[in-house]
Amino acid sequence: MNDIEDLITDYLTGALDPAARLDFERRMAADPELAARVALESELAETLGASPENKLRSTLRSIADQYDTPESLVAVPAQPPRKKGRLGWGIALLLLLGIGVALFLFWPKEAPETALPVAPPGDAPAILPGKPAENPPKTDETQENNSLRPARPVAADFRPIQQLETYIGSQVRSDAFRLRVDEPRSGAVLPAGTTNFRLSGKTEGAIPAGQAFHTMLFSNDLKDFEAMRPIENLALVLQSDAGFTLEKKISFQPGLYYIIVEEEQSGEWVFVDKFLVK
Amino acid sequence: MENTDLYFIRGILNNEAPVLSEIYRRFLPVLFGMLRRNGGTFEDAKDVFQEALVVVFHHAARPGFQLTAPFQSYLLGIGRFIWLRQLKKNARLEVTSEPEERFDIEEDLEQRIFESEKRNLYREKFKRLGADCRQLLQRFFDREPLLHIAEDMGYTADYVKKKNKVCKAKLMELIQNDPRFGEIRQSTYE
Repeated sequence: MNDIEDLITDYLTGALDPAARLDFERRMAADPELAARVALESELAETLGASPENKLRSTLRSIADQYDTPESLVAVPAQPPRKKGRLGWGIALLLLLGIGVALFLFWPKEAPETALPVAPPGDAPAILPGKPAENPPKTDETQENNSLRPARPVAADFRPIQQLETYIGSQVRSDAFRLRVDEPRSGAVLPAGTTNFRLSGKTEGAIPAGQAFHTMLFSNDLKDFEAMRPIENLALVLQSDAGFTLEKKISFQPGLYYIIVEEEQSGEWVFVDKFLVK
Repeated sequence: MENTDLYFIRGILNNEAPVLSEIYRRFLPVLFGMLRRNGGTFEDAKDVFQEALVVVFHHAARPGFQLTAPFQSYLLGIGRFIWLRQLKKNARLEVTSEPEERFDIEEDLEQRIFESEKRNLYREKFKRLGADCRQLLQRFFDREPLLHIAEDMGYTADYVKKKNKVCKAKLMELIQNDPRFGEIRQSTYE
């Protein structure tokens, strides 16, 4: 007899024969908890497996990676109505100039008063439902973004990774033990350049035998975090007095950094914190 | 639907890189301008823009989909909605935007946005698993046969099967213990 895990997998992969499938669907109808579990596993496979959405995300990421700053976006000429208007007025202006020159040459004494300079047309109207979107009005933002601005401010280098921020200060591990880190203090500021990075503290509570931990240091580069590419990945050795001290010379650029201590076997995070380098 | 709008929608549905690049160049600066007024950075704008495009992908793939507004208003309206939800979660400022950027989010579209948030939560929790679990589950979710995974990873089939169950249970636990899961699930089924 298959256990429930196998049944769910077989059901979702279409491996059940019609009778077993019907039977399983009856079980789900009678057991909302089972139905919710099957739904969650189905959504996980759809989300995390090879899917059209993930292919799209991959393409979008590679495009977005090309743009580090707003200035790197070379805007496609949007051909706003204003531009067309300017061209039209320019032609009219040239024609009027030509006529003016001709009048001046041939009837110098009766040269007409020309209407120059011609005022530019008003702003393009806002897009209304049903109006073609191919010539979107150029907003102030677009104009600002197309102009060259200084590189992004230094503060942007300290931009937090939201997914990690939620774990800082929380009791990551709810079981029998936790890590208490004395150094660096949460939000500590370390000097830029080569620094003797030191992580020290004590474990509190009983640590199951055979548990091993490692410490990952991440910059605030979201891409590195998402790809689980820490700038340092160091073993965290527990001492006999339940304390730990990890030291390494690391060259830090100014910025925001995160410390994650992970349990080797399960991959569970047991400690998350951050520090600054200035 | 106007030809250009159709061109953009088809490009998203068919994952056409040149069209997607054009969408980025045309509309990301506008979204960035909108977010910047509300304390958003360029990186925020890129994240929100990507999420908005994924929502469009799911929304437009539904049978009977009709674009009821110009593509720009539609895309930026979704982006604005996503950003508004992020601001609310972070208890930051109220969003201000120009009238032409406003776009009414219909219930169906709202559902697509909530589902997208749910999938992002799954991805976030998946990253919290250890490397072994991530590798194993990734192949499992890609529907690779367990026997093949076992051979390739140098384990017995029994071990891979057990490990797979442990990893899957861990992932589900991480998801179900996150309060956002309950909130999003409630929103998606309301």
